[in-house]
Amino acid sequence: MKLHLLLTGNELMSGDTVDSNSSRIAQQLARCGLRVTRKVTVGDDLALLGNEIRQASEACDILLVNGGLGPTIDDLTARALALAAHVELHEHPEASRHVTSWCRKRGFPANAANMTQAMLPVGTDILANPVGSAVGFSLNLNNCLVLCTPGVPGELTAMLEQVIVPMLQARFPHIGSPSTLRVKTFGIGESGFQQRVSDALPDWPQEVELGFRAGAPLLEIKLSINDARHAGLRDQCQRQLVELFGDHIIGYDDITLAECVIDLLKKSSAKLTTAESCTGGLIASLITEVAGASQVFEAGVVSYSNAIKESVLNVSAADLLEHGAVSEPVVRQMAHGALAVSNADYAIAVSGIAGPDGGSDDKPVGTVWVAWGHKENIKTSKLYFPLARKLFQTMTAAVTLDLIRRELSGIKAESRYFASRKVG
Amino acid sequence: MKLHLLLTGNELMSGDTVDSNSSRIAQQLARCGLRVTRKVTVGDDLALLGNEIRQASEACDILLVNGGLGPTIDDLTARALALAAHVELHEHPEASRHVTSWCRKRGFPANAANMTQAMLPVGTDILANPVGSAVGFSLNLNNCLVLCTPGVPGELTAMLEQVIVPMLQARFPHIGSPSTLRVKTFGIGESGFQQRVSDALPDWPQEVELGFRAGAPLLEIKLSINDARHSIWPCILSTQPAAKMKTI
Repeated sequence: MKLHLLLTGNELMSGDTVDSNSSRIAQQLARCGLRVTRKVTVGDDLALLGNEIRQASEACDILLVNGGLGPTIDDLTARALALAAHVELHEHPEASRHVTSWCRKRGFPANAANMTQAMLPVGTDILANPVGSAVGFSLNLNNCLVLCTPGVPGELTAMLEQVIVPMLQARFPHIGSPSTLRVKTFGIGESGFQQRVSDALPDWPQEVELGFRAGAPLLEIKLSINDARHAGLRDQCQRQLVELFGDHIIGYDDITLAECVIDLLKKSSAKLTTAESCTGGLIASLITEVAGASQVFEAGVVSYSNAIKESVLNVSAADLLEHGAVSEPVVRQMAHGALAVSNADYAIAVSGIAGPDGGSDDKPVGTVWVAWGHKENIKTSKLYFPLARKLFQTMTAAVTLDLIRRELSGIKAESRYFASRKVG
Repeated sequence: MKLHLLLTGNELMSGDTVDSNSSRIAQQLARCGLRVTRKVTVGDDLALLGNEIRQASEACDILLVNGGLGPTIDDLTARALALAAHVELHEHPEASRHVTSWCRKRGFPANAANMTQAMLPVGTDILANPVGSAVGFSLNLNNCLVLCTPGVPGELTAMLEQVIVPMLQARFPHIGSPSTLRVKTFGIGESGFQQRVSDALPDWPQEVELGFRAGAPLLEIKLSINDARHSIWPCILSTQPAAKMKTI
């Protein structure tokens, strides 16, 4: 099964935009056992685009076109497909209803530009867009299934997950089912992971490919097999990894630290609160990103200034003066203050120096005090992340969520990563 | 002047790596007025790669190949170029000296894997690598200048800045440099913007390309010209919609 990708957009050619869509597409389609074998990117040029569609349709079985579905003059995919297929454009009734209702729901009438998004080549089927105004569409051309998808990443992802992957799985059931197991871990690096695997599991079977994808902040471990008959071997590798790295494993597939923490809180019918200084609400944001967070999260406080730490969280003015905002007593009192305000059972509090300015010899940029735990037993620690501001915030938020995860899971062992970052 | 890009790497096909190199290449080459018109990415497959090089060399004036210069078995660019050009590989003296001295400076002798990086198609010229062990190389194939560059971002950047851009500027001095004015807006969608421009500015000059980049939450409007003589237009047009909007 030959799968080609065709991306369109002047911003991709000029380099203004780094193409992350094709990575997203490849990973989603890998779930139905399809591999991208060739990828072509061209600018917003009707003749070029039409030509590429025609050529690719003659050379492959599935062509996924990405971009060019918007309402502006540089959105040319529908016209290019019509050109390649030698058909006319017409107002597609289903697409037209989608655009009209999309606009109506947002309180404005569809204008002529909007309605161009309903002008599709004769003979196309609609690929529903669960998020945006531009429907996708598909057409059989030269025995090739051409799928046209939106360039906006959120719309593309929704369409892939909810429409295209299920459709391809139904259409090509003989292609292998998901052959990759994805394990999310936190607190261990790629080379450290590889080294421990090599040391502890010298007989790793060659049928199971071990892959990594380093994200910030999670490291994804991929166990891939090419043949369903090796599923037993893969499961055995998985069990060995769980034994080796158990307390570092957050979960599987696309799980995040916040999702994991929320699940654990739900299981113990407990609530969490946050008191954040240097992360500016990031921890609360990561939690509330997850649907259903309201069951476990009622309030968090962003106490950026000393005055608010005092007035809202009841942090002692004397301690602020004597120890400074980035200190053990302050972060501990922030946690207790947030617990008092929110009536929660667990708390996370952070106060640190994100930089680039504001550091001192005593407390260099990257220093952060964290407090976490159950209201009866708040623990504190000083950590050091000498990273750029945004990465510092990302890591601080991730570490505190991981500390709460460990607390809620009853893991006694301290994360190696945490131990190595601890100072003072 | 038609410029194509050919990228190679299984990690680009699987999506494990997001391709940031081609953005880097486009922005560097824009400095000498060159625009990438087509970009093809394939995995590490000798036949595929050779075929893409041959086809592109027939369709464009400059082909920049990125990736596949390393010392491992999945690094196939030199062999693919030899295949496309119907020439043999040989140990290139200058490349060989570069690899040997690069290894020596790091305190180890060049092994067989290292030395494969000096095996280049007959007739290629060297593109110096100021940073890494893999030299780049260029060849004239079917009247197309084929430039092969390393996939490691730091090495690519150094080679582009210090070797390729100066070389192309010297070789094609007549190419002008395009310029783009980027305007950030909020609170108006792509379709609303387009509609109002079409309504209010029916005489939009074709010398000024109007482009959009929808971000969350800002919408970027791009006014691009290919010739500095038209630079007055973006100034006029970027103020005009605002003036019109006041009257709406």
